[in-house]
Amino acid sequence: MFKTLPIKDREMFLKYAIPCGDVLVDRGELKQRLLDKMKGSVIDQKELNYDIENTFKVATRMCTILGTNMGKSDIDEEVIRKYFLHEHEKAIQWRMQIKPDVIPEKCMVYPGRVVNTNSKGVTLNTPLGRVVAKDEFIDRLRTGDWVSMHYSQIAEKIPKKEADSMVNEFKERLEKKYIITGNNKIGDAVEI
Amino acid sequence: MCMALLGRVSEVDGDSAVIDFGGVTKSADARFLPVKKDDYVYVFDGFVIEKLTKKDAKKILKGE
Repeated sequence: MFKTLPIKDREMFLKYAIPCGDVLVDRGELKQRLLDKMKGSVIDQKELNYDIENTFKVATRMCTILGTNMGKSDIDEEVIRKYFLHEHEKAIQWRMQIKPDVIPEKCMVYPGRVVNTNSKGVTLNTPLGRVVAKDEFIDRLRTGDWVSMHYSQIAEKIPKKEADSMVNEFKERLEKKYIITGNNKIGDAVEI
Repeated sequence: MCMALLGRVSEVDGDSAVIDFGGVTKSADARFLPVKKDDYVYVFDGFVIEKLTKKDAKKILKGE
């Protein structure tokens, strides 16, 4: 059994982790009903008394190691952002060796800029082009806001500086051929 | 880019382990996941992050 650091900011962790829960459901590792309940609890800002550590094992383990190397005793906002915004691709590369059902294009966390919002969702410009994302976890988005997106779900607003940093990392990986997605267009990446 | 790498445990000393990555050996911290000699493990950022069965590890190492 892997000994994880405790998750301090459980809401933020789940906003990033829940969108890939469908993969766990498809594998039979998580019940759809429990995933829906977790999602509802985050949206309704209820208590999050779930066994997150054993549900989202990969993210928790990665955060534990990153947090330890950052001198942390728990998984706080800084660790969660470092993992999901900047180190998540490493986890994808690792899991792709073991689990063939990982779809990197969907699993990666992208920055995006809000183009408009309507009843169908939020239209974003992202490094992979224009996409429509869900905004259940976030209130009052406005045109021009910068956000992070995971599996077409907006996790949170992020500062422009953070988005720029993510785009630069994305472009660097493309140039060094580290990128693992199949449909990248560098031209789209510079347009957001 | 530091990715998770698969190797085999060649030595264990408390929370520290020596991992053989196809002939190149590196030490790793096993404080979160205790290991024993000959375990197949993934190492990320200097820490053992997952153990694999011998069968699964060999499949991955052979690229199957």
